Parts: sequence; C-alpha cells; structure tokens
Amino acid sequence: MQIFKVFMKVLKKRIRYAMLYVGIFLGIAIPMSLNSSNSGSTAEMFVKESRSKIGICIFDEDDTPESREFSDYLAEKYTIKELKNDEEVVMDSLFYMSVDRVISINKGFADRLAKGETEGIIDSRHMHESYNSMLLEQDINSYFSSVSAYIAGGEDALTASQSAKEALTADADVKVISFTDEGNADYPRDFAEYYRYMAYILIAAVIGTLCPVLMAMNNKEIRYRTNCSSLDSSSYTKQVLLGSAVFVIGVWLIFVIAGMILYGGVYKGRAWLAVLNSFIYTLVAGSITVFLSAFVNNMDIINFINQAVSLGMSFMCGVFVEQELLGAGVLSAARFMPAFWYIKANMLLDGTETFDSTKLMQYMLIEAAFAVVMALLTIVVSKARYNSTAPQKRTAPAVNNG
Amino acid sequence: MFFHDLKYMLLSGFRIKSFLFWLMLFPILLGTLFKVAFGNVYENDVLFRSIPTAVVETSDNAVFRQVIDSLEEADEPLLAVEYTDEDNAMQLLKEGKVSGIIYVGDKLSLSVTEQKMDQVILKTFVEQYGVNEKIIKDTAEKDPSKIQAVVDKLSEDVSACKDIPMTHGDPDIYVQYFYNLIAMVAMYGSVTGLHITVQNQANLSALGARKNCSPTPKSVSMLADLAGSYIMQSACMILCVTFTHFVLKIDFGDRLPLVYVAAILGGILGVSFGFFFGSVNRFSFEAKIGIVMAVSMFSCFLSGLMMGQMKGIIAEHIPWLNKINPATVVADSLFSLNMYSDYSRFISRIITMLIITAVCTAAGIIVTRRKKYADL
Repeated sequence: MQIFKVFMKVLKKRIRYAMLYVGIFLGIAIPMSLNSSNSGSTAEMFVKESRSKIGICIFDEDDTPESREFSDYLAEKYTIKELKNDEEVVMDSLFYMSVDRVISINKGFADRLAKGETEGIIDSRHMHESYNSMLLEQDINSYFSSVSAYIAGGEDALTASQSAKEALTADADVKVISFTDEGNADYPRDFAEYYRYMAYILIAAVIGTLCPVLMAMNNKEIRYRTNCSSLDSSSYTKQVLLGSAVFVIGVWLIFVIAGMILYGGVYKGRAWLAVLNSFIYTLVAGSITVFLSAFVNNMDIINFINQAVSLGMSFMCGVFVEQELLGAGVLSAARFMPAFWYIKANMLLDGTETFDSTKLMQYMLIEAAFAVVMALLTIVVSKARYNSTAPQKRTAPAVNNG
Repeated sequence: MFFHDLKYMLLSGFRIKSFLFWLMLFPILLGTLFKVAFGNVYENDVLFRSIPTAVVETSDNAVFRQVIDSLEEADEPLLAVEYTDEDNAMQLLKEGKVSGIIYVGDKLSLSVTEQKMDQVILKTFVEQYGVNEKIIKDTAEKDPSKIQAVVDKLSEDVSACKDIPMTHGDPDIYVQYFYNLIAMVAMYGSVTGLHITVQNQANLSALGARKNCSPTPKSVSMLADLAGSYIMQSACMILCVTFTHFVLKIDFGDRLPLVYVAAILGGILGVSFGFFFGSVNRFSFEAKIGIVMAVSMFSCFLSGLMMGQMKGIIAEHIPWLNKINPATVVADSLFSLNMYSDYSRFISRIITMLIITAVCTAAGIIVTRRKKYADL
C-alpha cells in the first residue's frame, strides 16, 4: 500500500481546502434550512403568510381617524415597515423589494373620502410590476370600493371605513387539491434544498482538493519512475482509486451526516433515496476529477476548469435557480450534464414533480452513465499518456553533482 | 527610468496566468453564467402575468361574466379565463395549465393545487364577491332605498392608487448581479495592488530584494508599479464592462461612458486598497493574499454578489455601511446611473471612491518609504 500511503500524505496537505469548502457550505446551508423550516402548510396559513411576507410603507400626512383606519386595514394583512421619507431610501427599498409599495396618504384624504371620491385618493410608489404589487393594489381597491359603497349606503366616512374593514375579513371557500402523492413528507421541500445545493459543493470541493493530489501523483517524472518500478501498474491504479474513493466518500459522508442533523434524526423513506442520489452524484464528481487530472497538469487551468464546471453546471442545471425558471434553450443544453439529472431526481423526491420510481431509476442511471463514460475516457487518456514508450529526451539532468 | 519600469511592470503583469484568469476570464465566465441563469427570472418569476383560470359555471351568473369581460379589457388583465366543464377544468389544473378553478353558482368557490401568489390573488378576487354580498345585505338591513346606489358604486371600477413614477431605468432586480460582478472585478484589483508591495518588499520576493538595492529611487519604481497596476486593472474593467454590455446585452442605461468611468475608478480603488494592505504589514505573501481576498469577497457579499437582497437589507438596518463599503460604492455608482436621472448620487459615490483611493494610496506610500531591512 505504498502508493495509497503517499496519496494520503499528499492529500493531508490539501485537506484544509476541502474543509474550507465544507465549512463555508455548512455555514450557509444550516441557517438557510433552519430559516425555511418554519413555514406552515394549511390553506389558510399560506394566504396569511403570503401576505405577511409583503412589506409596505405608509406615510400618513392626513393623520385622521379615517386614514388610520386605512393604515390599520393594511397593517392587519401586510408587514408595515418604517422608512425615512427620502428618495434614496425609498428607491433602494423598492428596488430590493424590502417593501413592495410605498403609500402616501396626502392631506385632505378624509375630506375626499367623505365625498365618496376614491379615484387616485392615495399616492403609491412601486418599482416592479410584480405579483406582490398587484395583490396590494387589488386589496387597496377592494377597500376603497367597499368604503365608497358603504358611504353610498348612507354611512359617514369613518363608520364606512370600519364597516369595510370588517366586511373584508370574509373568507372565500377555497379547496386545496393535491394531485401529487403525499409521500414526500419524509423528504420535505425545505430540506430538499440542502441536497440541491450539495450538487455544487460536491463538485467544487472534490475537484478543488482531489485534482491537485492526483496531479502530484501524475507528475510525469514521478509517474515514469513508478511505471518502471517493480510495482504492477494495475496495483498502482487500484491504490490511487482507493485513495480517491476514501476522500470522496469521506466528504460525501460529512455532508450526509450534517444533513441528518438538519433533518432532525435518522433519514426516513424518500430521504434515503436522496442520499442514494447524492452518492451516485459523488461518484460522478470523483470520476470527473480523475478524468481532469489525467490530462491537466497546471493548477491555474484546474482552478479555471473547477469554477467553470461547478458554477456552470449549477447555474445551468437548476442548482442555484430552479429549473422551472430557466429558459428552454438552457435546459436543453443542461441535459448533457449530470447535475441536470441529479436535480430532476431530487425534484421527483421532494414532490415538485409527481413521484415515479421508474423515472427516478432512469435519472439515477443516466447520472451513473456519466461516471462510467468519464472512467472510460480516463483509461483511454491515461493509456495514451503514461503507458506509451518512455520519453526519448530528458529535458534536464535529474541530479546535478557538480 | 519611470517608463522603463512601467513597461516591464506591464509586460510581466500581463504574463501572470492567475491575473489573466481571475481578472479577465473568470468575470467573463461568471457573467455568462449569470446571464444564463438570471436572464429570464425577472420576467418569469417577478413580473405579473395574467393568471390562467378555469371557470366552471354551475348556474348562470350574468354579473360574473360582465366582471370578467370588463377585466379582460385591460392591457394585462388580472385573469386569463377559460370557461369549461368540471372534468376538463380538473385536467387543466392537474397539468398546471391553470392556476385555479372558480366555480360560479349561487356563491363563488375556488379550487387550487399550489399555494403561491397566483392563488392568493385568485382567492382575493373570489372573496371580493362575498364582500359585495355582505355590503348589499348590510344596506338592505339599514336602508333598503339605498341598495341601487350601493350596487352602482360596487360595479364601478376603482383605481385608488395614483402611481408616482420612480425611474426610467431598467428595474430588473437581477441586473444588480452584473453591477456586483463589475464591483467584484474592481475588488480583485486588490490582488494586483498587493503584487506591487510584494515586488517592492525585500523580505517577500527576490525581485523586491533586488529593487531595494538598486540605484533607482524607490519613489520612482513604486510610482511606475502603481501606474502599471492602474493601467492593467483599467484594462480588466474595460473588458468586463464591454463584455457585459455588448456581448451579454446588459442594459446599463444610456450613459455608458460614465459606466466605464465608474468601473475604472472602482478598479483603481481596488488596486489602492491592495497596495495599502500589502504595505502596512509584514505578513507572508500567502497570508496577505488570503486576507485581502477574504476582505474583498466579504465586501462583495455585503454589496449583494452572493445574495441579491443584501444591499437592501443593509440599507434598512445599517445604511452608513453601504456608503463606505468599497464594493457597494462601486456597484451603487452603476445602479444610480441606471435608476436616477440626476447625477447627485452618482457624484457622491465617485467622490467616495476617490477619497478611499487617495487615503489608501497615500497611507501605502507613507508606510513604504524609508523601509529598511537590517538583513535578508
């Protein structure tokens, strides 16, 4: 096991890079998952929560009981945020969507309302023609429509505002139908995000750490020296592969165990399938790394390839941005990348797509096929590169005794 | 001697592979990936589109049809309605072709599958019917003679919001990733700045040792190195802006020359920051690189490179930080060119950049001059 020991010695020097990746990933993934695990699931909860996530800012210059009623109506549904009445602050808050609309209730609001004038009664600033902005406008219009109707019914503006506020608490008869099976309870979407992001970090950490080690092992002069030693070349390959497997599986296990902590115990049901999916993907990451190190021997190029492969696949295959938001052209190109199938399998498991075990198997097999293709390519490249006849020329004397 | 040093600084600088990668190739790669990933998100996920809705009429409701007809007259109507039977509606819902089914009978009811904003808007629409019923019922109890007036009011279209226009620029929130990309390249300039100190500190490089015992005044060689780094970094900034605007077609507004000015000044700021940091301590080269990169990336994180809303969150809680964080200042100068028609915010960000640059450069020069080495 001489080669295995040397491999581990070299790996030891690089292990801090892997730990850096692992540490940063867990540092970001754990708070994110903890933050998103509190969401409710019932129909009423979703309506309430959807609105309460929308921020709104109100500048009430009229400051009358009527304007306060209107502000209260919005405050009951939305999150009211205090902002400085300054163009720069308002612009930033609207652009970055910390508030979706900034409402100004001008002086004379109560008087106009009393007359039943509701057209353009408040000033509203918004940046994006978004769903949030549309919902807010819809609620505001409903409020003033109801107030003006009550006023037309003979009520004064304040009573009309109070009556409208009460009337608008009415709930619609909503039925939530689920066409997907409920088997994803063991693998909820919030938690599935952890495994989704793992597609990026596994590739980045494995290439970034393992490639330099394999490059050191494949250094031409060392490799030629090893080739002409008494060591059987298949034994050499086996030991290097064993070393690589120990590292890759070790990194994968750290993520799986950290996932268990987030999960809140031992995985159940479909979560184990997600673990299997990530294991196959880990093999793909390992095979890509071994392939790269077979023909690249420059750290700068490895760094570039690592960024291109890990970030490229993550952006194009739906790791950082959900697949449903990506363009059709991007997804067509992404089909030729393993991360695309990893994410597809993850979507089947978390219930984003209707679960189908045949499809899941198919996706995992496609991922595995990438690993097999990479392994075959590595054998071809390695044979051509290292098992050819010995170099005819020496570039420099190995030892200078002068 | 100045031009001789400058020439060789540039020649050697452009031959550093890591420089070419991190300051030229990596931004191109990352920018392309941003474009691929975020190109459609604003339109697909943020902007409102008519909500596809199936309507199943269990009994005739002329008023409902009238409301739907009036809604469909808008440019971007609230609902895109398809009248159908229940089986077909269910099929459409299952296939995700509609966001919900409205059942029209004596009362309205709604069936949905997902729980997103589409469905909340549909629910609000359906609720409005219940509200109208309650208002008419309340009026009937109090003063039946006013019912017609109330019905007339309820059938009127209300537009209570008088919209105040905010900007003529591109409000796509994902464009800010490209502002931050440019800010990131500017901050990577700190590594270029760091190289100046490494090449001039005798304890860090052979070149530094050679320079320290050469007859060229340190001020001349240092200024030549600084000028060379500024030129190299400016070239990177120009490449980055040109690529994002002309190849990726990112809209920076109609004041492109000023975008180049802001980006170049940002790059010079980055170089000065690296020069300052490299000068004020005697850490090893690796330690300096590690710390400078960590500080630069943290600065970019605060400006929103990794998490788009970060700048907005800071603006809400610690607004002064946005005004001094170098990456935010660079990104914000580009943001202000796009979003504001006047120049006050842009000028204030440019002045901040110039002040940080001047302070870092002056401090770097002060601590470098007369530095002596007892032995090496």
